[in-house]
Amino acid sequence: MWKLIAFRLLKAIPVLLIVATLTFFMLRLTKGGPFDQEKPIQDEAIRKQLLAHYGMDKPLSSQYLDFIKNLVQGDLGPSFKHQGRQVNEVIAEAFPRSAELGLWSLAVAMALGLAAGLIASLKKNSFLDYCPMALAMIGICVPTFVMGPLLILSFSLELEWFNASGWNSLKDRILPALTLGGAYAAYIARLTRGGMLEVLSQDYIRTAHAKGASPARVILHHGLRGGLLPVVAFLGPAAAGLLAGSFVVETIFQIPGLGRHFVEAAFNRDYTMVTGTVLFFATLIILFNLIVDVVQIWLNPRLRST
Amino acid sequence: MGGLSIIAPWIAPYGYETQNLELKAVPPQLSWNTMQAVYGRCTLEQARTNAEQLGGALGKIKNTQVAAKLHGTIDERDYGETMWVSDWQGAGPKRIEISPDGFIPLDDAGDEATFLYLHSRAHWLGTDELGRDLFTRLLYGGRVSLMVGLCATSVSLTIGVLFGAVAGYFGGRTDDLMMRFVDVLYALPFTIFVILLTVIFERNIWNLFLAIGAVEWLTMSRIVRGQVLSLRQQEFIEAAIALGIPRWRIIWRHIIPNCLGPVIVYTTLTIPVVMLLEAFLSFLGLGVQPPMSSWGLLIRDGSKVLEEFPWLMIFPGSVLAVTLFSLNFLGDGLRDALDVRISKD
Repeated sequence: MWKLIAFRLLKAIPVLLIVATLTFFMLRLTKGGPFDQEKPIQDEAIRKQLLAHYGMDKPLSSQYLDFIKNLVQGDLGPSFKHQGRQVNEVIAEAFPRSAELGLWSLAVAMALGLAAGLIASLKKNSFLDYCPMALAMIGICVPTFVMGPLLILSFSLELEWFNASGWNSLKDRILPALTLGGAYAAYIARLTRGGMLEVLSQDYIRTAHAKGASPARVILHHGLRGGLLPVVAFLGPAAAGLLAGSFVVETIFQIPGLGRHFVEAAFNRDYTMVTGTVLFFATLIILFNLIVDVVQIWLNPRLRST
Repeated sequence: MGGLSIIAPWIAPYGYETQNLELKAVPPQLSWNTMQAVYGRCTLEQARTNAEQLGGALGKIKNTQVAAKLHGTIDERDYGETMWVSDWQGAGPKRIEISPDGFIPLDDAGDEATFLYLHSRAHWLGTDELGRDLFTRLLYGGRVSLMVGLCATSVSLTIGVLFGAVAGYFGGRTDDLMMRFVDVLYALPFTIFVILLTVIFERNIWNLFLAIGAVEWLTMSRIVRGQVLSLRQQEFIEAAIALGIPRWRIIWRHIIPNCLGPVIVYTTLTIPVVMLLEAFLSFLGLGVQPPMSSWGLLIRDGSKVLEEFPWLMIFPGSVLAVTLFSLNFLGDGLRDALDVRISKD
């Protein structure tokens, strides 16, 4: 197990290096740099000084070397747009908000999805099956950027239960988490239902029933373990999806999280900020995939030998 | 589950219908505070028939000076004081004030007067802040969205099938290398890469297709590779090799046609994903650029003015949702019908 983790972490290093290199050169290839705005800097001296400050007067190759050197030391460099601030600082400030949003959403998705999927699989082909599954289909087909505004419209503007935007009180967490988690709840519900249906029809479940285990124990102890496998496998891609979703949800609800910073930086050609956030996201996703794999192995003994 | 496939062609016309309507060349700019008006001297009876023919409402100009000024079009501010409009059918967001002193009963027939025929253009789904007809914008946006769906999918299809076929066919080290490459890309936050690609290259619609297509081919290539690996063991391929047919020709003529089944199924499932991605990009302002419209863009515009004009958000949102629903349904139905076992991600 530890060997696997170590191996995977080692493999992550070249991947991250490739990502860093790709983003670095892709950004440099773009027309227009971070200082070519509507109001270009007229004074040639100031411009030169600016470029020198950010090390952009050097040739591209030495810029790249500097970048990699700093990267290895964990320094993502100064932000071009957030004046006088390091990218590290910005990420450190914004990430907790995004992480909180992500965790709440994941909690919503798991709670709703598992509950709906379990009920549906236990009451197969009844009203309690069709109803959650129809809801799940809707959840899949209504994208977050439609769901978010709709929730705002009904719950904050019409009913005035919540604030339409902001990230101050605990109440402000509810709508964004519902928006982001809802779609994943739908997928999880479908996967849980499918997984459980398959597991519940197997012999060892019948054996468990036969030896007199209570139905609750059979379902929760014997059934869930196998039934959850597809759900766990889905969590890897879901993490990537949650990240992407956070760009939208943070825009809709005006949450000053990392997703918004990334989109803004991409707009503003804030080179260091873009590279920094991309690397950060990539690391997160790799880590999350690793965790998912470990959990999968723990749940499914058949995977252990490989 | 089999039931789904039976309903699938039945549900699908949703998507198809939306597609057809796009072909209507509706003028993209209609406004609600200027209306085309035709006026002239005639009797009320004539005026009324004319107005009906134009599908509009009937108004009467009280004073001729104003009438002269109003040649061709009339302005919102002229409504209340200068004219009276009967049977107003226009569904514009602003209704016209009927001024009581200008009122002439309709059965006042026979009098000759200057009449205005308002050319009413009903806005079925209302208009946006800039006075553009939402229905029209939806249709035009649909063209973009569906085109992205088709073009970006075919880009991803081409890359995916070729990549998968080559990797699967050559096997060995080539396969290893190519599949590791796919694995690496899988581990990356691909949405971020699309965003980067759209930011970096000029933001026109073709680049959008390419950017989306360039990140959506991974699963496709895996599926194709799996198929090819099993096909390669079969006798007819061996026979083809024995006949000395060049490799690319074997891949093109014998391998690829034989794995079309799952490819078609997966393609139908890719289309909604790709459309969603386009809408997502447009929503962030990175996709289709403003004078054009796409569903994602309309949703973005609508969500900004949610409080005042909720319909601007609700209609595009539901159109997108219904289309995605139909396409997903079609894909699921096809998959169940052909019973192809492919992963769902």
